[in-house]
Amino acid sequence: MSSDRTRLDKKMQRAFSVPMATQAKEVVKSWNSNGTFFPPMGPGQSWFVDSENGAATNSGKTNDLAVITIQAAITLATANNGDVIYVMPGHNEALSDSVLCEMSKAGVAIIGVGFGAQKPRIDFDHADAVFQITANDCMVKNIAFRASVTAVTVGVEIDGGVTGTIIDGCDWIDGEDGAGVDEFIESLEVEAACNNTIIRNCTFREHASAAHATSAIMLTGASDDVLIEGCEICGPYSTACITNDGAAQTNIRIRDCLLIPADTKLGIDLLTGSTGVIEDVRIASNLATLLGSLDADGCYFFNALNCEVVTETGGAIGGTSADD
Amino acid sequence: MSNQRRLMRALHRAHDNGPAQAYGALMQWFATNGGYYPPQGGIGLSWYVDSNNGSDGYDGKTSDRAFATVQKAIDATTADRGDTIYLLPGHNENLSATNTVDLNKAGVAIIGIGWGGRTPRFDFDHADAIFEIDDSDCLLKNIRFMPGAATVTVGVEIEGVVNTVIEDCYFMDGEVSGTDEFIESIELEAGSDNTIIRNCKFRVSTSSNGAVSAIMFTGLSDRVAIEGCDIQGGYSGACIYHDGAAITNVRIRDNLLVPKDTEPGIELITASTGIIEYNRTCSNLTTLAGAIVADGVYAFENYHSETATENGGLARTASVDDG
Repeated sequence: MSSDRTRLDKKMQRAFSVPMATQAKEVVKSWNSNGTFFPPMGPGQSWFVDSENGAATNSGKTNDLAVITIQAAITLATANNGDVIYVMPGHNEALSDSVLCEMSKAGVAIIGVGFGAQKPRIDFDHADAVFQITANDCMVKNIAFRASVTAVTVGVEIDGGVTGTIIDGCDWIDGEDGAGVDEFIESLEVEAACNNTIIRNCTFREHASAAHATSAIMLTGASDDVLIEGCEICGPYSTACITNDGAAQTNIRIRDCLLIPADTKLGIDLLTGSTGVIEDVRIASNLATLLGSLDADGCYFFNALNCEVVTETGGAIGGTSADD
Repeated sequence: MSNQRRLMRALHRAHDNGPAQAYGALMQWFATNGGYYPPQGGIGLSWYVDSNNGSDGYDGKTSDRAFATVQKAIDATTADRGDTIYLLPGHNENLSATNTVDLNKAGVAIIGIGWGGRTPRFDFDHADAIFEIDDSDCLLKNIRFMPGAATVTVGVEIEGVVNTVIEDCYFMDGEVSGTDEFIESIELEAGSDNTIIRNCKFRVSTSSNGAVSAIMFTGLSDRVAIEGCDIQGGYSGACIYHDGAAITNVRIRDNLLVPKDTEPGIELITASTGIIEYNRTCSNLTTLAGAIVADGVYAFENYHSETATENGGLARTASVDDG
């Protein structure tokens, strides 16, 4: 410990000869190399979760004192305080019908650290296991979700009336079973009045033999100003990659997505009267018409393409606007 | 005792108690000395504003001694030093006819911290409430602006000053949707050269009667860039509109523009020059070319969709060999 102190002294003495910003950079670099610099996003507190090296009795305040479940960290967090929960590389947590995860503190972010196989992962070990978001302004970033049984009803559920959710860089990966029988029926459900939800840069996958997958993103009621962008959705979804049920959407924006549902199924299926803009989406599915791959009669289209058959190149969905 | 010795002592004490305490002590020290959120200019000071826990009686130098109002922080800054004002998550400030904001210190940045409903917000509770940018080289980032009264004349006004950057800001629909609105969300007065408006979002109800434009030029400005914006609502003039004198070398790119139906996405005064590229407009006009009214600008890949379920067509005829 004394040698650590000496090293720190030297760094600080060196840093004091330069301006404040450089001091901060120098010290942060020092802390970062020791694996403990994960800043809160505001004046709040950082919390740490690690299933491999944590303990239920830990404080959760540093990565070497991490708790072992996300739910434990959520319990520790304070709502609307800028708190961030960092989930450590390799973290793996199982949910069941009795062990759920409820993000019930407004304004909290859950951020996975790591990539590839080290990306933190949540397994769904029961058909009723669910990751719920029940408070406003929450963020879930860089987390993988995996179905480990057949027909998991919902992976992540944004509860009705919860606004300002951001889901960014998350992966819904193939089900655990090698034969491809584990799947989410709906990977992500957005209930009614989940206004200003952002789903960005996520991937959704299901085994080709996943028989119960209905849709990757299900909008089950009227929400306003939902943004879905940069997503890649590929699986045998029997309704559509993005589906709407219950009541029509208003001002939805879907952009820059690759959508590959079950063949002959739709890329996007919104209720009649849904309004918004759909742009730069690519759908691969063999339907009677190109327009059949995108059912959204109240939305404007830009560069929406459907490719029906391999070796063909995608054609424009809908007639091109012309002077009238 | 010098700052250096105080820090050393705090660090030694904290370090002996483990990395968590050391980290906490370190961050506390930097926060106390104004360096936790580094100033944008590198050598300036950071200032903090928090309507929930702050007070204009504080010194504003740390997040736990934040000012309550942004004007107090502006008054505390020094121009052209690289000072940054941080608005803490959940900050919410009401502006009125008499309580306006005047950003009158050159080179100051105002940055909101937080996302979603925690993004700092200014409410405009009177038609004459306004957020003015009155000096050059200022930056606004990650802030929400919401009209709380009918026909608020202007949200953010750039007063003929140069090099303003407005980034990641959200001009929201009115507190009472369809009744409360900005007539002009951002106004650039003459001489607002080199302004950048980037990745901003603008919304107003389609039933609004008072909203004219999201971005309004009221005189000659040179080299203004508007990019990556999402502008949708019942704008009766155009999403990007112009009055007064022609502008020069404007660059408008990669925007989604949905005005009141039958109105153009962009309308500039005759002889305005520049480049308009990669924009998408939605509105039911007689011709696709009507979506962009700008006779002195070059255009690249702008698309217009007239009717839902139609795919946007090129808003202008493609150039061809003409000898």
